Amino acid sequence: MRTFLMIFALAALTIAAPRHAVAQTPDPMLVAKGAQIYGNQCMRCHNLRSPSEFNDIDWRTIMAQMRARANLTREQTNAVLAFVQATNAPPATAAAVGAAVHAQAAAAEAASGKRALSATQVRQLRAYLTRLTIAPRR
Amino acid sequence: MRRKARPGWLALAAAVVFAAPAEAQQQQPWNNTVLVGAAGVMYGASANLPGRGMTMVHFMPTFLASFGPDLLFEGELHFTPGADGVETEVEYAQIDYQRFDHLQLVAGQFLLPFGVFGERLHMGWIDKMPDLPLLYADEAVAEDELMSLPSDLGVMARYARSLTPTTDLNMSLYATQGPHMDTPPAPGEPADVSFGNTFADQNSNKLLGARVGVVVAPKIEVYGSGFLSTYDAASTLHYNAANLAAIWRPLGTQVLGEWTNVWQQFAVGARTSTLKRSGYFVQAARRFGNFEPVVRWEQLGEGQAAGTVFRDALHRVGLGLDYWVTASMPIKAAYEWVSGGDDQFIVQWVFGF
Repeated sequence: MRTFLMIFALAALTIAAPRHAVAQTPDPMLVAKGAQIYGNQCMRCHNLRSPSEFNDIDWRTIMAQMRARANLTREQTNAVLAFVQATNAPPATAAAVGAAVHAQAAAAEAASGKRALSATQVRQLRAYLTRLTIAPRR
Repeated sequence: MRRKARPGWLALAAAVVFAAPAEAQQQQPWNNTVLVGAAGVMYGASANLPGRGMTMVHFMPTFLASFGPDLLFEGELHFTPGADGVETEVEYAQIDYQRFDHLQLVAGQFLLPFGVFGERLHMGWIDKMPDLPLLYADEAVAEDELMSLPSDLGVMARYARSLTPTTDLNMSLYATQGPHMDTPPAPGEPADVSFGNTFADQNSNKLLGARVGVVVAPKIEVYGSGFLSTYDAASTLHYNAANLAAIWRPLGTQVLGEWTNVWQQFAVGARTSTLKRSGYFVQAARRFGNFEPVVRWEQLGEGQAAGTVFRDALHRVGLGLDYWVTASMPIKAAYEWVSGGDDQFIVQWVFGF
């Protein structure tokens, strides 16, 4: 009985060992919307700066200021923030987000017969996915 | 008598303790401070400058501090070394409350939402020309300045809403201390009026202003703005202004234009007269790789009251070429033809961080 309990306890400890923090996968469509807004709204004033210039925490503070300067709604601000943070995410997470966006867009297109993403969205996604492979991560 | 399996129970208890779920997402702190801004060096050559040239440096840090998800403090300072020491200006220092989906509340000293250039495009690494448009240039550039970059102390409400997936509406309403007289004028002449850099309210009257904008991103955006104020201690002399601004992006070119009209009352004996003056600029720029040629056409009209000219007209045409080392680091060169013969050549290197 004692041996059984010891084995059980050891197994429980192993299973319950603290995991590495897992980054929350962002909503793919929110990221896609953020990419579109990033391309259309941010360039109204200035050249598009690489998301890798700042870390996720700093982007949150910067986007608060950009919301005021660019007259963005909270939804638009959160979408851009999701995009820049997803671009800064570990490559596996960012690639998964990109693949999910494509999959959802393809499924929507197959169901409705209509193009799910505009040409601008496709262009932004392509740039976003390209940035995943070549941009350095912080 | 059998002993209880205490080590096993202890191990099981430890397992229960350690089985508490780990953080699914690392918590990011909500209090955060970021330093951004710009710094630059500029060389200007003109026949009217001492030694026919001068070099200036600017350091413009912007402090951003977020306290939770809804509260932001932002402040921008301008440091300009000069012969008399370092000139320091507070461009803005404000608190933004962003609790609502479409509404923001602002308090402090802020750049007035008058036109678009002053609030959004004046930073050195964003402005495509090395110097400010005549509409917003100070007296160092335009002796009879129209209006320096309006920054004032007060409160503001900003509203933004998406009308369609590509069209946004934004509105701003604000109340501030208002402009002030720099120095008492000569009898029968209008005073020079300016904004900001004083926390003393000149009078009990407040400046009331508003701006409405429609944005069809990224192609075109149009704004109408204006304000009403008084600038004398007795609150009897009005200083009102209206502005139309538009940004248009045809075929990869950015075309930016603003028109401003100012009405300034001044005392002529026991009566008052109104100085009317307008100005405008149109700027076009287009990228070719890392190079971006820019052209700016601008004019300040005469300031007239009752047929008398109190402010001289000024006309300027600038031709510039920017080289973008990075997305936020341009090297800008421009030659400006100025009416009256004060032509100048300017080179500026700005680093946006």
